[in-house]
Amino acid sequence: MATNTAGSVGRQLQQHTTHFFRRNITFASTGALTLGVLPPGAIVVNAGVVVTEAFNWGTNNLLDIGTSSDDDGFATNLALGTVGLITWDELATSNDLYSTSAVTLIATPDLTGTQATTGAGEVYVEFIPDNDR
Amino acid sequence: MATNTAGSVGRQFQKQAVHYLRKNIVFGDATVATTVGYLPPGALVIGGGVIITTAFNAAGDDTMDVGTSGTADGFTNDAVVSTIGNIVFNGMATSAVLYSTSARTVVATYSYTSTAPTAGSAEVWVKYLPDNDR
Repeated sequence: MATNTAGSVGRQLQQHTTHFFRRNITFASTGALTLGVLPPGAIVVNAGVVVTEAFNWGTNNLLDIGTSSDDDGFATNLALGTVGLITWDELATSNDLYSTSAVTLIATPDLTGTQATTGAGEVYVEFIPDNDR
Repeated sequence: MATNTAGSVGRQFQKQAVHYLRKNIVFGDATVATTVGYLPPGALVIGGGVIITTAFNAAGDDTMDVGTSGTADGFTNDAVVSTIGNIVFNGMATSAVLYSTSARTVVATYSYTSTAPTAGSAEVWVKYLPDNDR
């Protein structure tokens, strides 16, 4: 039935499974990198970055994860200098975990200093859509 | 189209849903690397643990490693399994085997010291994201 209301571009599967967004970053990544769009009503339950190759910029090797309006809403200054799973650090106090509107998720690297030669990782956000009725 | 390249046996659905592997391990599996399951190429391991449903009761230590067939303690090392509960993986923050472009086998290894156990059961679980978010 036509509603005359535009739908969200946020991904929402029919199944009651946790969903995710995932994208690769490297030492050459710059600016705000879009992970995907949350559908209205989604709740974010997990986020982080798996560093698969340590970043070696001379000064900062950091990453924020959040939304387009609060780019560190989920994680602030995650350290990319060592290999492993670096989980989000804003869970307990974040006010960006739920919205009635569609929300764009972004990851923003802060890479400064002497030019790096290595660095790679996979950023992810896990969420639950509002479909469990 | 035939590729003449064998496919991976790792489970990968088409949907961008979090996947898991789960395997029951009992006290009789001691010292053997039990296969938990298979990761498809590009999979990203983001969490896991061992839920002890019946405490392992060897006279000495009861511990479990979980990792890959190449690094058997890559996710957790010497997790104590002598009390009931969910013991989350302890090696994730520094693990170098959370991602690979190749298919991998996940293994769990229960070990004990001193007199052999007569009880013990656990569910090993591993969460992963397939490489299908493009």
